[in-house]
Amino acid sequence: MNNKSIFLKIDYLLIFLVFALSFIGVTVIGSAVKINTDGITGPYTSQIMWICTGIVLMLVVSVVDYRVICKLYPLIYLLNIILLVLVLLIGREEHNVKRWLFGIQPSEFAKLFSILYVASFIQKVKEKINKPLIVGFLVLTMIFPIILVKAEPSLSASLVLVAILLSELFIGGINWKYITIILLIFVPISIILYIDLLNGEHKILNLFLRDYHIDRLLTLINPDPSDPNYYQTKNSIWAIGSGRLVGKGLYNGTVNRLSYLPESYNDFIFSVLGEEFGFTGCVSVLGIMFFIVLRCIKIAVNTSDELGKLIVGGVATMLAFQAFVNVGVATGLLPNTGMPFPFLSYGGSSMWVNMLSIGFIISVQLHSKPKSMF
Amino acid sequence: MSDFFSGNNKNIRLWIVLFFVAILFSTLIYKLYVLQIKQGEHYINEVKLTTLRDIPLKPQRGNIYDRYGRELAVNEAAYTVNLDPSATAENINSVLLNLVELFDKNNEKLLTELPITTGLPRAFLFDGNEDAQKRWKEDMGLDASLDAEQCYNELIKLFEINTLLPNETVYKLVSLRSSLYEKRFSKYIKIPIAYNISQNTASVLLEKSTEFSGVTVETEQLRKYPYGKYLSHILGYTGNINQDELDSYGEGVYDASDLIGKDGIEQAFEQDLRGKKGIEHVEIDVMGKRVNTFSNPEEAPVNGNDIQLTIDAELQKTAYDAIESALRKEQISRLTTAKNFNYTTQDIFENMIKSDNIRIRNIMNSKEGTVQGELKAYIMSIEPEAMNDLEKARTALKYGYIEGPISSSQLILALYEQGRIFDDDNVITRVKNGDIDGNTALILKLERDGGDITPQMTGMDPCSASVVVEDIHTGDVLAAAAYPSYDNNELVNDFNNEYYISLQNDPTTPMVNRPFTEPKAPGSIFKMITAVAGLKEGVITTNSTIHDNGIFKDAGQPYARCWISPEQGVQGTHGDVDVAKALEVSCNYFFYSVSYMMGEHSGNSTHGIDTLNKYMRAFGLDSKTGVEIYELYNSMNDYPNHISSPDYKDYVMHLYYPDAQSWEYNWTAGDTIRTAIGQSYNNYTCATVTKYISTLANGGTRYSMHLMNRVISPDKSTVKQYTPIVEETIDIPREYLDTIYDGMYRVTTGENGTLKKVFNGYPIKIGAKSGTAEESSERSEHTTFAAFAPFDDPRIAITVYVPFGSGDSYPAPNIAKSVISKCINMTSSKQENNYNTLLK
Repeated sequence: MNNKSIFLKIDYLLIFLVFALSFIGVTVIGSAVKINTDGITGPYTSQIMWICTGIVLMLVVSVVDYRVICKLYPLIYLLNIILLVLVLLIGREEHNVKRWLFGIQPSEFAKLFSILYVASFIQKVKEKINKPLIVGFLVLTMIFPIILVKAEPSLSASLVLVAILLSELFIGGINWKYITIILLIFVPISIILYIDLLNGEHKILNLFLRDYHIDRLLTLINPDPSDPNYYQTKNSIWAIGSGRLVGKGLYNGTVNRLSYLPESYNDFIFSVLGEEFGFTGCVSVLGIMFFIVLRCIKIAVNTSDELGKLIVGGVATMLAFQAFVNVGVATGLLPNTGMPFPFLSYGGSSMWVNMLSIGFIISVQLHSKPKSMF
Repeated sequence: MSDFFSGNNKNIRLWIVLFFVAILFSTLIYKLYVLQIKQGEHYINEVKLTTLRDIPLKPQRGNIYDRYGRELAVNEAAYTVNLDPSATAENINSVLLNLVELFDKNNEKLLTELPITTGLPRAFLFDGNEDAQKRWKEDMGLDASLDAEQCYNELIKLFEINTLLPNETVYKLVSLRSSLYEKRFSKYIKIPIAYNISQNTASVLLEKSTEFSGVTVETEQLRKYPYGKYLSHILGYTGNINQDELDSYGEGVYDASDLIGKDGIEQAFEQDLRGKKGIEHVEIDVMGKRVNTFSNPEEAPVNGNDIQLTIDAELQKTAYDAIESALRKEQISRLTTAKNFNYTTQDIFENMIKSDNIRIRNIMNSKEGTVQGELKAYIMSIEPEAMNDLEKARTALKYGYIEGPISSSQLILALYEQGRIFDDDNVITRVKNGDIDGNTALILKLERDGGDITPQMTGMDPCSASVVVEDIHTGDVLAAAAYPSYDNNELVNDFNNEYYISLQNDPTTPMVNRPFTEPKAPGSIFKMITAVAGLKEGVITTNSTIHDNGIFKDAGQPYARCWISPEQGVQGTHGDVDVAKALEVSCNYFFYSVSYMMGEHSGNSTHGIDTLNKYMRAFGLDSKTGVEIYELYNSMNDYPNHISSPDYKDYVMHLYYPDAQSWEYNWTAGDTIRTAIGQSYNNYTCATVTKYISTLANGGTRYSMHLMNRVISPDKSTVKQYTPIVEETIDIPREYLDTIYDGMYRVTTGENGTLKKVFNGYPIKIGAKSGTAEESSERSEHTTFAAFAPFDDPRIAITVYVPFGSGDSYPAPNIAKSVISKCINMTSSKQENNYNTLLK
């Protein structure tokens, strides 16, 4: 395999889609932080910087053979746990949450680390994954990072880890029996928890959720106009709804401009997009994200390497899940939880992790042999 | 298939993941479709409702001018200080404290809207309006059962105000914070806290704007009444609209922050003066701050129309000053030389304590080391509960004065301290040392024109008067002075609540518009109506004479007498009198006879009064004068008849003497003859009588009285021009008129003219008549005066009422002399010029 063929093989469409999304993101962030009136400010330049550094990281990772990295999966797992413990011990606390360690968010990196760990583990054990002990061990080892992330607390990131685990298990060939069993357990529990939620005392939910999580869930079912969570969701819905087909135009979103949107450049960036670019803009962004996922799946399908399939499938799940939850929250479909939209939302750690993840996908594409030539 | 489900085909599972993602994304797109396409319109409106506010733009209120274009009500640009509730900082208390201290230093007046008194004991300033008090407590989140003191303390706690500060500062801080607190749900509305501050203070606030965050300085139009007290009753004033007014205009015309005309012309011509409000749309951000403003020319405010009145402001001023001067003379006369109804300076001081012209609240809030402090100490020693009961304090002070421990000098010094009267320090020192006695000081201050103890302050008879001057050919009201008066500048812009309440409690009722609302028996100035009736009905001729027998017995007991004083115990007589002489000497007997003869004519007992009533109605005594502002008859719709008549007697008797015998309701001949000389049930306002005198003076044309001359649009073109309205024409032969005029001329010039002495040497020829009427035997009679001038070519009619004013100094005719001189001697060419500059 010579260098020339490497560059021919790179999926430029995927990279273009990622760039497009990042560009849209930084533009909308510019509007959210009012660069048109307040001038270029911190978040705007930071985001540009993170995109640029993220691209470098992506390129670096893409030329490294992912299989070499994945050989070190026990170390990756250990590094993940160490970082997550450290952040709880010495991390910077902001608004009652500890998410920051030396300027990065370990909970974001935990997503990528978990993708690599789970994929490597499954690839290692091959068919034995369906043995209860083996799958039990994998689930057990993943419970630690999930709990640690939730302890920061970052419910949304821990949910992403759960999604990654489930998705990779599924792709990795977990027996349908397990899936049936999980569904049989999960569905009744969901119903019980739902009833518990509606019941004022929340005896069961209180065991593992904080009060403000329960409040947010309640807000979704039974909106209370004076509730600050409802207020966030309501204003987000107003912003998106009032954007109608084509939006009010960049910098012209009333709800955004008048600061009615909380976290507008972060978790609620989609609201600004919805208000200023309308249904057209929203569908375009979701379309781009879907194409990215589609390209990932195609790459996974095309590769003959089992490990590659698992990693790419995990990344696709991570991106799609975060995008879904983010938009679901912004449109009032899901309870209010702080989930970033990949490449769109403001944030260095998440940008780096997402770029690195794309880097791994390219690496898979470059370094594994295609299963067949179609 | 089994391979497919065995888990070996990872690619199939990858496609399943993609399929799952596709379903999730489709759900999102469906949700977005619902929000943005299906419900987009709804959310656009929701956003507008939240972020856009319509802010009314106030038009400039129209000016009011007098007939010569003098400014009576104008708008003046002034610096206004506002609090912007959306921009106030965390350290609001210290910002406000700096502000209060700056204001104190620069002697600026802070608007204190707190409806609780500054002084102790604290009381609510709702003027007894329970609903207003309840609403305020609700707004402020205070318990409805709290009293003023408790409310005040609750607010201090709520706003965390440092109580170690001086009491006045604490009060101001509580007031400011309360105003802010009241507006806590509508932060984009600014709260005015001072009007009309000096350039100096404004520049300090502007320079140190960072120190005074949330405090803004703006220029605003303030209403000014350059003639103040001289025209308060006619002009009225503007003030914040109240709930009743809001309700009466309905939705969308006014809002709760609007000003509205409260009285007089300001109220009567509200629709012309107010103009049309404009609208601007402002965007409000999440903090309630104004971000953007949109306006379009079609929604710009339209300024109000100007009103030009018929009033001659300088004449009005002359009339008012003449009244005050004449009342001073009469009060001094009663203090010094008068034999009847005289009083002493002690009586005056006592009355001033009673009427609170010596302010008891100030005394009870005074500090030690002042004269008021001495008075307070005395009061407290007599009446320990005085601190909480001002009525008891007042009583203690009054008895302290009557019984001697408190001297007149102390009371005069208290008046100095209260800022009610002024003098150089050395004069005050002389009063303190006893060089000037308190009683002497009182007389000195009362007798001089412009002296700062006024007839109103003493409250002794006479302390009120009305003057109306009318143009007899148009019905224009040239002047309508009411004494005592008030300064409407105190009630406009920043309504001075304590001043208002002191006006309400003043026993001399300074807010009453006497010329148009205070009816009195006119007395002998009525007699010309009887004369016209007698002549027209053929009862007498211009030459008929009647012999004055002194006592008129034909109409039965009790006998009516002529007014002329008995000589050596025998009833006096005017001898043989014809109609002109009857007017000259004001012979009651003559007019008794005339009216009695009108009744005998038919043998019907009420024929005389019915005939007389016909003429009284013809001269307009039973109807409104027509002025655009509030007058007496507006409130008298249930009167069957406003004049001295059988119906009215029946009405009055039922109203006031429901237990009377049935025969007592009946009209008697005695009633008729007394009606004929302006007594009995005659009761008319000064303006009504002026209208009758005008009608007589112009030969029988009764014009509606009016105050509006024209309405002028903001672009200086005439919108409405008043044209005189003839209500009725009375056909009076020239011969009769000349005879009556002759009689009236002889009142001031004839050998036996009743006012010959008063008008001796007066350069203007006038036709006049004076009158008196007794209301209470305890008090002096009312004195009235009516005239037209100049005699040869009459232009004006004037009526003067001085209730309880009959006395040695002839206040009513003397007031009239000053007013007529001013009116007739006026050179009007320059003023005519002025008149025209109002128009384009």
